[in-house]
Amino acid sequence: MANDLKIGQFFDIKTISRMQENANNMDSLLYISQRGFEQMSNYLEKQGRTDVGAQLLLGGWIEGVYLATSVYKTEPNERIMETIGEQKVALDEIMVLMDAFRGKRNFQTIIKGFDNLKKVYDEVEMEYVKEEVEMEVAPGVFQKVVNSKSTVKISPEQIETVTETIEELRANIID
Amino acid sequence: MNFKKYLLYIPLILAFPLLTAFADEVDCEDEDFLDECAEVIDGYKFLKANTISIEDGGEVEYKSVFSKGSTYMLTACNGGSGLMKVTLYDRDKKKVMSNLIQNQYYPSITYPCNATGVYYLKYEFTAGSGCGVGIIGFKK
Repeated sequence: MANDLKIGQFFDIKTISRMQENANNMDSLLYISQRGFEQMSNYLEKQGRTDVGAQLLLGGWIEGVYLATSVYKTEPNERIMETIGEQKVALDEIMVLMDAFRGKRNFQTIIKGFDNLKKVYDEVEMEYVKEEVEMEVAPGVFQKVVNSKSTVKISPEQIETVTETIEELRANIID
Repeated sequence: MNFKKYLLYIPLILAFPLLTAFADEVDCEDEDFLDECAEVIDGYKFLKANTISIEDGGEVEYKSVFSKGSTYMLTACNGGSGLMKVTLYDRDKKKVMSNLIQNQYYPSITYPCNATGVYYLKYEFTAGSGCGVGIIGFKK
């Protein structure tokens, strides 16, 4: 798949060996894979292939939300419910990115799916309360900072609609 | 006195400023430089590396989505002699904190996030131009 996307050079022997060496160290694995993604993204940007970079990013986000909703189906709990609701923030940013590709033919299915998802998330509410608190910003260093608290209001019915919409979007991409 | 012996050192003395000038120059896009900078976030999970290149007192801004319940580490790592300042702003562009606190410079600061949202990171140099990398790490 990487070769088909012409980014096979980022999955070279050196990187794979490095990942194998760090197989038991999650922090290192995360660092190597995240750096690999950043390098790929920079490379695609330089090559004028931002559409491929955007598709990789969108695919990763869709998969993340799909996994979260799948977990919620089997083990519903407040924390995962909140995480799914908080995706409203990421989705708003994604929609800005999406606007740059609205005219592209190969983006039409994905854009339609995201527009549907946006409608669902428009009903999800996020509230913010601001306060100034003293915080330890570096070891032994305290500073007064503006800190805010957020709460998300999402109902089980809304989660169900998010689940259905993301499943449909994912299926349309895979098919 | 044998001056010939000292003549041998002259090329070295002349070359010294040149050698130190090269030592100050860092390739901020180099993976080894980045790996070294990433060591600072030990104990935090790597999230992103913002590469910075600034000329003549300019500034660079990046944005990231931070999640409630996570603590973020923001680092400033650069070559050369200047200091790289990082300032964090919330979604309303209100300043949250910076790594230059009462004229004291900290190469890394931490922010326990209680509000999921878009945050802005502004990077600048305390004097002149330079390049560096701002790494964001997080832990739950």
